[in-house]
Amino acid sequence: MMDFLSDGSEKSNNFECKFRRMKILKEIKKRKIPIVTIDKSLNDYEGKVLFPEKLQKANDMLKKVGIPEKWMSK
Amino acid sequence: MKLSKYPLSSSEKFTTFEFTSEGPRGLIHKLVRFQQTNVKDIYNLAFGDKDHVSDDIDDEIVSNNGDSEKVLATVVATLYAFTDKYPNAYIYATGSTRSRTRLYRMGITKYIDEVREDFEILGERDGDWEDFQLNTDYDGFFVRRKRKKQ
Repeated sequence: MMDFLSDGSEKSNNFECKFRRMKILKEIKKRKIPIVTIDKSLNDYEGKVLFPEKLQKANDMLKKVGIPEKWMSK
Repeated sequence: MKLSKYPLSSSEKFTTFEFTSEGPRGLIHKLVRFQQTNVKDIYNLAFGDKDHVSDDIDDEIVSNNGDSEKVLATVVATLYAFTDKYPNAYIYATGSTRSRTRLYRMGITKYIDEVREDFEILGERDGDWEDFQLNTDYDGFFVRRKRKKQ
């Protein structure tokens, strides 16, 4: 009796879990503005330059090519 | 874009995002970063794979996890989240290699109509900026969120 109950409830939990996950993924797909969960551990990256070569490339581009003129006036 | 995307997590300032790619090569943690450049309000967009053990980020690795469209759609989703928080931001993006820049261009091309609904996009060519055109190779891209009409 106990086995049946515990097995049954586990199955039901799995189903609920899958259903909730499907619902969330469907909602994510529908939205342009995404649902974002805040993860404070990512704050550790704030002071760091993660992609130094890319940043250098961007700064070089800004020096050589500059900001698009059409965007400067707006 | 009504494309499949991965769930996103973000730092409190919405400048660093993380998501997990799922595919035949397993779970690959991706990090997206909007890094302030030397010019105010101009950010560089970069993303790469995160090694969960060493925390190193590799932006040249080719993951081949069979989900490049979903990954690209998720990176675009970070653009929405970032520009929602920083509506005056200008974002510059280029690939770590020419072929990767071409891959970005192909991604933009595929969803150009949806992208143009919400963003203005320019391509960098021969040391100048022009409106993004289809079938044209660019060295980089400049993006900003469309201003809401008053």
